[in-house]
Amino acid sequence: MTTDRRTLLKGLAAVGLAFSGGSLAQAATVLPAGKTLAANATLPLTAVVSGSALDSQFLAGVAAAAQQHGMQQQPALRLNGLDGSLLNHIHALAQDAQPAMLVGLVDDATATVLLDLVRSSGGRVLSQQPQRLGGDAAQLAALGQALVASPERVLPASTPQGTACVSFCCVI
Amino acid sequence: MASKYLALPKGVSEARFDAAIKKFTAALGKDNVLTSGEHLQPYTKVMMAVETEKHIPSAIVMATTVEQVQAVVKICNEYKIPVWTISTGRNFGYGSAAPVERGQIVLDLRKMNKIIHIDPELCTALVEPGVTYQQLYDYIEDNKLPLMLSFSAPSAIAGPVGNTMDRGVGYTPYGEHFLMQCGMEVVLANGDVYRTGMGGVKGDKAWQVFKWGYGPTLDGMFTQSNYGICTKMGFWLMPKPPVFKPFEIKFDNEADISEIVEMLRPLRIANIIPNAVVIAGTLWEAATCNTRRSDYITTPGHTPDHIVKQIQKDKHLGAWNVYAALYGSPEQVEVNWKIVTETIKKAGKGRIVTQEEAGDTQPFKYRAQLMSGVPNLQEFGLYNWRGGGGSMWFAPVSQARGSECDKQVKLAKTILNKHGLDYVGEFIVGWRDMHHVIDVLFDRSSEEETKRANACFAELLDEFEKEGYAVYRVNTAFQERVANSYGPVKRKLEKTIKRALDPNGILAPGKSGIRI
Repeated sequence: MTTDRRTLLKGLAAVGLAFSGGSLAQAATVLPAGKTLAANATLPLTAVVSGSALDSQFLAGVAAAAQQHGMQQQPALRLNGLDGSLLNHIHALAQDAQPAMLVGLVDDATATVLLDLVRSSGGRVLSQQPQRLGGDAAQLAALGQALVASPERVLPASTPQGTACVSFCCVI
Repeated sequence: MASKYLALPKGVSEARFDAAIKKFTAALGKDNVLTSGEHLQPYTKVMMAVETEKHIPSAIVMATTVEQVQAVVKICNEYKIPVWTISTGRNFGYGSAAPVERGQIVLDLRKMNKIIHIDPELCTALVEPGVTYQQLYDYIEDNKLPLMLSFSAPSAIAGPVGNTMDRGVGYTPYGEHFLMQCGMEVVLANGDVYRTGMGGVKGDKAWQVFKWGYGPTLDGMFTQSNYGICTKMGFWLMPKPPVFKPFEIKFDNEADISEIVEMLRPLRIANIIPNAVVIAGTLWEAATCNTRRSDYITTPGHTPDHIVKQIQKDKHLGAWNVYAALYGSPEQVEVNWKIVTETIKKAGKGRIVTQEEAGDTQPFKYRAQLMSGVPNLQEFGLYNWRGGGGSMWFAPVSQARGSECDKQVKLAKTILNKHGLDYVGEFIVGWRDMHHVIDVLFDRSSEEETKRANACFAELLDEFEKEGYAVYRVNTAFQERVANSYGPVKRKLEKTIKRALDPNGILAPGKSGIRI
């Protein structure tokens, strides 16, 4: 097993990614597209973060998955605090005639507001999980990858004394 | 065999539900009837300490007109489908958008979002249920109307109909929202459209200015209840005052709370201070200025007192932080400011902070915005204090007396700490009453902590009840329990009314513990 693959598998295990069709050892470094991605692969993809130390590794995972699956990635949405820009961003996405896929890792307060705006915009939530994450780069990158490739399989992770946040994937 | 639905209404077969869905689709259009897991998922997010499964809806239906609401009610009666109505669905900490019982359909009225009129001379508004405060704020700003809104802390994304129907409160002199409500249109379970107050008089123009009408005034019985579906609501708006002067008073010691209430109550009753006075504890303040528990301590359990003191010191907070404001002409505000400052000076404690001194710092900024009708989302920061998405408001009501405060804080803190949770609370002093609002925050990603939070909330209700207190509002998981606090006669009367108005029990059975 290559180091890259071992690191990825460790990360996948840490984020609790469930594989129904086989063991973790059977997973490749390029995550296979799950049924959700298959149905939404043509949508533009936007990653959302809320200004934590976890952001860069998570975004790297999202970018890697987007590239692997040939998705059109938009600039990441970096929310910083609970000001009006959060509302403006979501309203702008909701009013765009073309649906978009959002994958994110944000704090609880932001998630509460954001996911409710997705609901009231008529969006679909494909995955939403509470997470407690440490600073493990592989774990964060794996979570970013998994949310793009196979969001329906992402499960909550609970790293002792980790940072509380919410991972999600939705179509708005 | 597994159902194709996430849940089914109690006692309704899948085939029967299929037939009902077909009728809803015919009445509302297919885009307004949702049954897929992906669409229902955001309606199932509950912040309460119970399994999400208990509050999963079977379908979402969206109406855009009163006639469509009548059609939904008709189909629900025909198929005995229970329906849980939401307006904007932002009742965070009290149940969110999820129904009180598994399998109820959710009637989402967010698409009924017309501001029917705003009268800038009489200072009244008439709106549909889906109108948000942000929408109203934008309308008022765009049209340069000299009016001010009052709303609860989720402000921008919440709406006046839902907040008023749940008897929520705000932070301006018009903060008793049900008091300021004037005229309702309600679809009853039999499909009739009833207008309260003057609304039934042909040619009337006084619906939004005279609440009482003739004979029994029934508006109140449609709030926190399941006797009808509100499809329009009128309410009064405050004229924007020439001068708005928000201020804070910081008190360093927890023991000061009784004196604070005794000192400020006369000013509130006399309307020297015309808005509800908020007295927020250290952790409430800390959380709303972006402080997280994990910045200080990562061990499980409650936050020790010495850490709370350290946070108070680091963030320049009081043990209690009082917020209020003065409104009016320059002359009125000058006179009232003198009365306030002399009262504080006489007490010999408390540091006054003015807007000029506070500048743009939080939490002063968002408190000042709430007191002047400017929407913001800052108070959502509470959810980051502990993290994990769990929140339940515990809000017992009492007389506005200092003697009430100490014992309530001690009792609440003891119970919360026993269950490994923090006291994150504030008092809101109304005209003569006081709401003690405590956010029971917990980590929903931990099954063990969620169970503890549930036990904690139940114990808070029980122990406060023994001391003669009951909450004014509660999340959907505890509505049956709280209904018992108010006595058997009230419950019997509510049931009698329910059976008379809604014999099939289709409208939100279980809301406030009321069913046929």
